[in-house]
Amino acid sequence: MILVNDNLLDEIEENNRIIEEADRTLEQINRLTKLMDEWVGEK
Amino acid sequence: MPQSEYRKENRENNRTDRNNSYDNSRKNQYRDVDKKEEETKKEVVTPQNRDITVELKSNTAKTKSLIKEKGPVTIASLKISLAEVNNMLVEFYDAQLNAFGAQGLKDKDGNPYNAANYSTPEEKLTALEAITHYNLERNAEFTSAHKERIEEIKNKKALLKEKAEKILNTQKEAIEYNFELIKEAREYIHKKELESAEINTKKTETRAKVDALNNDKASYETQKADIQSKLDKLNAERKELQEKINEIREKELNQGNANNGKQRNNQNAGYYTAMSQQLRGLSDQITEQERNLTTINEKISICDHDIAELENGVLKSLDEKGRALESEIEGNNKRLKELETSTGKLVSKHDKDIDTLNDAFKEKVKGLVEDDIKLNYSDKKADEAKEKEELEAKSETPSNDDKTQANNSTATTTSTNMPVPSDASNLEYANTLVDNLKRTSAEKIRWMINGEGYSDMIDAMDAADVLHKKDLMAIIENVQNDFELPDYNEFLDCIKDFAPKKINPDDVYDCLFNGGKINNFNSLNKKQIDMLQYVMDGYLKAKLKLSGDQLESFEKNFAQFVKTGALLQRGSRLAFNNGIRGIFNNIFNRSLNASRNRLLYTMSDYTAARFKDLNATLKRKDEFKKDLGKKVEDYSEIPPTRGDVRKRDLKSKVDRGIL
Repeated sequence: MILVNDNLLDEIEENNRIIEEADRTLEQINRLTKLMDEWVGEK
Repeated sequence: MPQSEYRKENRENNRTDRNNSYDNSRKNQYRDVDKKEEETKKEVVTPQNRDITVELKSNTAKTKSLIKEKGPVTIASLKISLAEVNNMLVEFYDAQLNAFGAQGLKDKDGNPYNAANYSTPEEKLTALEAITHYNLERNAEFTSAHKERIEEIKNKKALLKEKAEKILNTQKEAIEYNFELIKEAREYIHKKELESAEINTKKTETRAKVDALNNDKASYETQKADIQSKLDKLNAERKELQEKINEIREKELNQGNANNGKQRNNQNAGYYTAMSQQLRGLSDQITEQERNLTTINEKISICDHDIAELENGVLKSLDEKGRALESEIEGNNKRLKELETSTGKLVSKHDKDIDTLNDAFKEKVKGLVEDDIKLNYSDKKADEAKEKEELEAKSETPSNDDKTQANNSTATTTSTNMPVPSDASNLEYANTLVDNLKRTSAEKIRWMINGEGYSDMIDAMDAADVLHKKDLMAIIENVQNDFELPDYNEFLDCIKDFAPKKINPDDVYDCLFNGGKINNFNSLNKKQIDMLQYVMDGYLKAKLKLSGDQLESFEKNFAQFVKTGALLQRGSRLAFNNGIRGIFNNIFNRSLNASRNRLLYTMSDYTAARFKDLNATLKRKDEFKKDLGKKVEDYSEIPPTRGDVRKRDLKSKVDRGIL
């Protein structure tokens, strides 16, 4: 099978990977924020 | 260098400069698609052919082009942001874990906490959570130590919020870019599908040629068999004749011997001569048939050659090419579908991230809506800056026109209008506009819809939050409810002048009205929206030749309903389908939404142009009256005109007190 537009599909896949990584980072920020609230007694 | 080529080159250069890792080879693969896009951009807009369709097409292409242009930069920027934030998080986790270790806190193995014992950031964060949950209520020292650093923690939290906002915004742009790439890939696959269809057509044509050759060959074979049969018959006849001749010769010989060679058998002589002639004739016919046979054999041989060439050459090559292409299309379609699904999931995830972070920070994270506005207004920023300069220049030396406009502005600005902070976002401006409209009389709102306010309401519909959008829709619905439904026959008379022949004015009526009520434009399908668009297009073409009465009749019978209907449709589409989820859904309703958008912006231009004409007429009338020394009527209630309303945004208008 010849995938001549492999580059484009690869690019989309790679972009999705980075977007997913952003999700994971945001998730960490969310958890850390909650932790900080607990530290200062806001929760 | 033609402008289109310059743009193409410039775009490609920019792309390469911005991201060296971006693969140039892909550009070549999609050269055809790009070329098509460039050809679209190449259309020259002259005063003669300038219309909303061309302008809208150009604007849409511009927005898409901007997303695609910015794409690699967005991705690079997201990568950088993530690296930076991840490093920051890890540093923070490490510092906290080591600090807890230094305070004497120990892990389950009895060792002081040490960041080096954890490999991933997630593990470090989980350890911090575990430490906190264990010590918070058991360890007074742990609790008080944190209370002492409230300011530091709050600052850190504020910094995290800022970083989260940046990531969310860039992430959204990255998703939009991915959708553009998906569209590009889909276009590419579609192009390949067309190629595949073309190959199949060629294969069918070639097979038809082969079939025709086989038919010819069969026909030649029949002829050959016929010739062969004749030939066999002739040969048999010749053989029989020859035998008879031989028999006669033998008899003569015998008789000659008996007569001692002195007497000939005169009785057989004539018969012999006739048979010899017949034999020659048969031989000639045989020769001719043999020639025919050779010719037919040659023809059959040519057929065989051509058939072999087509089957083993052209057809084989087309088969191979077609199979490879189909396989490529199948593989690409499958992979693209998976990518579309995963990108779609990321959209939902992004929306959830915003909700979660809004909750975590207990205040709105500047994410979705405002970012949408940035995108919508990104190409207007230049206009805004220019406009600001112009306004500043004008404010220094006010002209008479400015004074008139300023008076008009004052007249249309309600005294109860809420002030807006100078650094307010478009979201805030849009919400303020809606709040102000809620305190404005229905009559004034109707004037606004018929004037400059219409395009502002479109902008506000896009920019305001969901609740304000719903308020704005209620305001417009109130105005629409006051419209008097047109007389059926009058409507048909009005529409038939503008509707193309293929459109039945009855159907146009049914698009707008049902059971004595105005139809909700959400219920209209693409065909119906296009029908309304055709009528508008017909009107715009004929506009210059129409009388004042005709123009008014068109507004009263048709335009005012389309104007408000399209605006309400826009609101309901955005109110419940906003942001990035809307973008995803729009992909599936692209064609319908494109028609809706086109109609809406046609109505916006129609309203602006009509209002401009009306204002100009009134001004001319006033000047004429002034010349005659008559009293000039006050028409300050009519909203001010400021030229092309689409080039301005809400911010500058609210700043100037127009809204």
